Amino acid sequence: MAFVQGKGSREYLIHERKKVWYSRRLGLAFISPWLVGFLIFTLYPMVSSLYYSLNKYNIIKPPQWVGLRNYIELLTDDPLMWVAVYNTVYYIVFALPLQIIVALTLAILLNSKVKGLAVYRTIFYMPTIVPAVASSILWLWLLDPHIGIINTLLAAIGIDGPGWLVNPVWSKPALILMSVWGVGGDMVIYLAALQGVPQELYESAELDGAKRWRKVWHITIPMISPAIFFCLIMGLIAAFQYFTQAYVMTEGGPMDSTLFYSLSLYNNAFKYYKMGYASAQAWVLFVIIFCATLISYKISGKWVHYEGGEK
Amino acid sequence: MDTTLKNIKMKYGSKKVTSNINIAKILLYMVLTTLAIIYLFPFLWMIITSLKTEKEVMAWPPTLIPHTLQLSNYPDSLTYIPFLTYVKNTLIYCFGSVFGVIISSTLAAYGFSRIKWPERDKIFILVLSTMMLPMHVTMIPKFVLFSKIGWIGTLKPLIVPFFFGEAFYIFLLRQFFMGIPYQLSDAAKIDGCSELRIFHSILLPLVKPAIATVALFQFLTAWNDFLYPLIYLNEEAKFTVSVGLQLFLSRVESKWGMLMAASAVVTIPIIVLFFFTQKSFIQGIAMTGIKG
Amino acid sequence: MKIKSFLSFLAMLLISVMVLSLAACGSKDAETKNNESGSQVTTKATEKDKVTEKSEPVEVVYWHMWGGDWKSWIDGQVEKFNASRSDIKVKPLAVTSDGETKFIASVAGGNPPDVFTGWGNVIPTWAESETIMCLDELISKNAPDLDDFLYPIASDLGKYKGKTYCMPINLCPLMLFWNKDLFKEVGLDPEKYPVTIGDLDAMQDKFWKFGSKGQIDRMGFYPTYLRIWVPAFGGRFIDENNKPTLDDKGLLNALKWFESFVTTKGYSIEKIDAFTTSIANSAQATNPFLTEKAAFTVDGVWLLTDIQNYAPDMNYGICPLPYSSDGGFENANLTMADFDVIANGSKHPEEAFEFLKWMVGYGGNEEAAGEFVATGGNIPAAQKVVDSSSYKSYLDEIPARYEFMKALDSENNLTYPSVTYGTYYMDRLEAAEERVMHGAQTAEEALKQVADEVAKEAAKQEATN
Repeated sequence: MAFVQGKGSREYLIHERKKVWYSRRLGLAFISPWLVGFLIFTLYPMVSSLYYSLNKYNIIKPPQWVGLRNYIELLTDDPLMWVAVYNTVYYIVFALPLQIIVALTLAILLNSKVKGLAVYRTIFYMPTIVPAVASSILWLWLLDPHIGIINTLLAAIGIDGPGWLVNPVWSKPALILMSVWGVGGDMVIYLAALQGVPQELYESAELDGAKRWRKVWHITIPMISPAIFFCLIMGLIAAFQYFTQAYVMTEGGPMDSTLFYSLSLYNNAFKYYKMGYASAQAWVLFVIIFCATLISYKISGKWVHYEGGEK
Repeated sequence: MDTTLKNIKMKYGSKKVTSNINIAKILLYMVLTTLAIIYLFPFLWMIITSLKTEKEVMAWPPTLIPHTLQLSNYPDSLTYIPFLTYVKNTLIYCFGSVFGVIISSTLAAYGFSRIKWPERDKIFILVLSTMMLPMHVTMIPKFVLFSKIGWIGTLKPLIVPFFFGEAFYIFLLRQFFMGIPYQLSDAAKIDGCSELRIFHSILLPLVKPAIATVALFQFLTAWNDFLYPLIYLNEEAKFTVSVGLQLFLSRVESKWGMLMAASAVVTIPIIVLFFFTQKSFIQGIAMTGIKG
Repeated sequence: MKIKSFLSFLAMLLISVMVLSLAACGSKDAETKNNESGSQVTTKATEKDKVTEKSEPVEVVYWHMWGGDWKSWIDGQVEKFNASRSDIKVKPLAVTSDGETKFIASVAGGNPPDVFTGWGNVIPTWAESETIMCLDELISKNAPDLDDFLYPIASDLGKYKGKTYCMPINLCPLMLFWNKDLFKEVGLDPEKYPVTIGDLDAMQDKFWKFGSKGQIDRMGFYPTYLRIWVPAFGGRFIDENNKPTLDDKGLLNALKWFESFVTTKGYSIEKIDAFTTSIANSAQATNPFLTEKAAFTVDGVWLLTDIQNYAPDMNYGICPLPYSSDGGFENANLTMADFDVIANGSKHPEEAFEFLKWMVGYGGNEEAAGEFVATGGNIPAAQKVVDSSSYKSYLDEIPARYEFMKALDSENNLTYPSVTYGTYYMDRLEAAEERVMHGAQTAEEALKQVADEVAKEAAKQEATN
């Protein structure tokens, strides 16, 4: 803490205020590229969509003002909306924890002196590299009830495989399975974070007689908790907006069992040309995601540990 | 014995060698190999399919080893669509956006974590919130915006916005920045360093794995991006690879064998690249010596 | 260790050099692209240029959704057109997925293509929202006898609220195919085809074969796509006032017939799903009808080509869709077509219309159009094109193709409901079909639900118009 000339309270206050101004300018300077981009490329579309949500808008003709009618209808008069919410929540509840656990496990397993480490890491990351078109089609084949290899293998051990994507009960589990296949990205993030965990911590813990599981639970996980927190938030935001696979592979069926929120939104926007209504859907989702993120943020203080110290 | 085995399955790395570890290592390899096969299988299926004839692609029961090898799928698919042009376009998009996103996102992440200023956290929430609005409702206004400034039909709407940061990476880098002790910057400040100096001389090198990860992720995002290039590009000559691949699909009969061959060609170089450069994402500079 | 990091460094260096050189070419490309008529600013300049020098061919931008082999022959056709005209140059672009989204975005952004080929039920919404141009003026100026040229059903297809908004370029009628060899095998007269639904029910029952695990090895017939059967039951989707008719007796009977397959006839929906929804069915090589795993199928003219290619020895017959003896109509089809539209905001509607005329075969283009439709395996939208020598040779190649002409003459054909919520209506009907087939609802309940859904939607659409 630098010394200030004249420790009278007034000079001190002015100095402090100047420091605040200085750091604000500095902060803004660093984020200025982002800020400029935000104002030009992001704010305008976001505000536009908010405006559209209060209108009846079919993209081409000028919007017609309807006030809050889209929102009211969405929340009180649209049974498909609640189907979509249910499907999305189902997905989040099962896919998100699974993704985090699998990615974490893989990263931890691969962080040791295993022979062929580079090969394993590449293999687990590969799904993320395969183009979306190809991987969707691949999984359509794999899960095909008739010619799919998964059911063929199951049949070989005597199990009558379900219809997977054509069965209303199994369609979501099939998609969740597919999502776990793609955790390579999270795995790489955890691996990068694991590098930052000092070996001395493990060594001193071993000296104290800690077993493996305790070391993982009390050292590894807290030390990489910022990365876990990141993956949790990003996973949450992404899961709420789960769209592509359902759009390409099932189109929301069978029987609306894979009609996720974002897909329902897409249909309203680009199939039924009700962009105003879809925008209202989008903003309702925004509020939900925002609240979920805020809650996670608040709880994070309890389990996320920043080694740098809080600032 | 059972509990030890169970604990061993949660292995994370160890230097000690005891007789237990040999069994543990074998188990570890077994688990890893099984998982690897499961993860690898769809990709293998892609390669296998790329070598089949159209008829055998749909055969039932599905054949693991093609009865008739159709290697011609490979050269055929690369001439069916102007592959090299598409790769060129995609690489421009990839490298351009990676370059832009690293510069802008590291700066922003620094501003959101290493400098304490009053509105910081509120604006950071704004950053996060940009990811919370489904893209389908912002797509049209964005498109109209780009139309008005005449960028439609070029790669500009794809690349330029990345020079202004991207919330995902800002968040990621911020997390990593926050893991570095503040004493480091404080010490440098006392020595008279400017923030910018601290930023690029001290902090950046320490988060190299994170930066490499950002580069990898953005490269792949650009590489696999489908919808935006589809919307923004109006000439087949300007297509990127992912858009080009859709030319194999048809309402009547898609060319599955060639599609898989082209996908394999598109995927394999990146896998090879990842394999040889993964150390830079993973290995970090040792943190010892910084504390105390 | 050192070698590895050196190699990675080298790799990075090489890549950067590569990229820099590519970027150099890339930006040049981008600049030249910007100077072309893709943006608002430069288009105005081109307009001015057009006034002074008319020698430059007008560029007509054309987007379509055909990939694979069809893209190649579209490109070929466009080349033929360009060669035949010195004043117009058509530039095609293939957008196989999300083509409609891209089309709408471009109209919203102010620089749409001139011509777009679409299909499905989008005309009412696009017309209502002014996404596409009304073609009446262009027709009266350049093709006043167009209605006489096209088949009546094609003319109707293009209209919304009495005005023409699109040009059908081909028609896709469906017919019932049956396998004569299998008929013989189960003791049926191979020449006697099912005329009524009752006939079909009785006949198809004989073919089902199940394997050791209960899976379907062969089936007789299983109906899909409720909408294509509605006309055969005498049903309709909307009445004369464009109001949805979910209580229509024909519509209900059609859905009840579907329902009967999983209730009274007792087939298992899981087994059927596994059998019918496999991707294998979409590939011509393994179509169940072609591999003789199904005795009947409903399909279009294109199947004949596939039979020739993949099952040339099969003995088959074609007949109109069986109709219901309880108020159904004979030879009734749901007419579907591919059509061309001109976008609102097109800079060259006149020239675009010339291309439209050429594609449909009007004004002396019958030969080219005939070839166009023949290669795609469809039916032309006009009699003159059917009579052209290029199309006739296509018909003569496989005489069974003549059968499909019968479907066009019928008075009992039905079109998609011409209302703005048409897509929604068809989607909910499909969902209802799913629910009924999975036993979640009875036919009556399902239709009641669709009625509620569609009525609400219709009210919303009318409300603020």
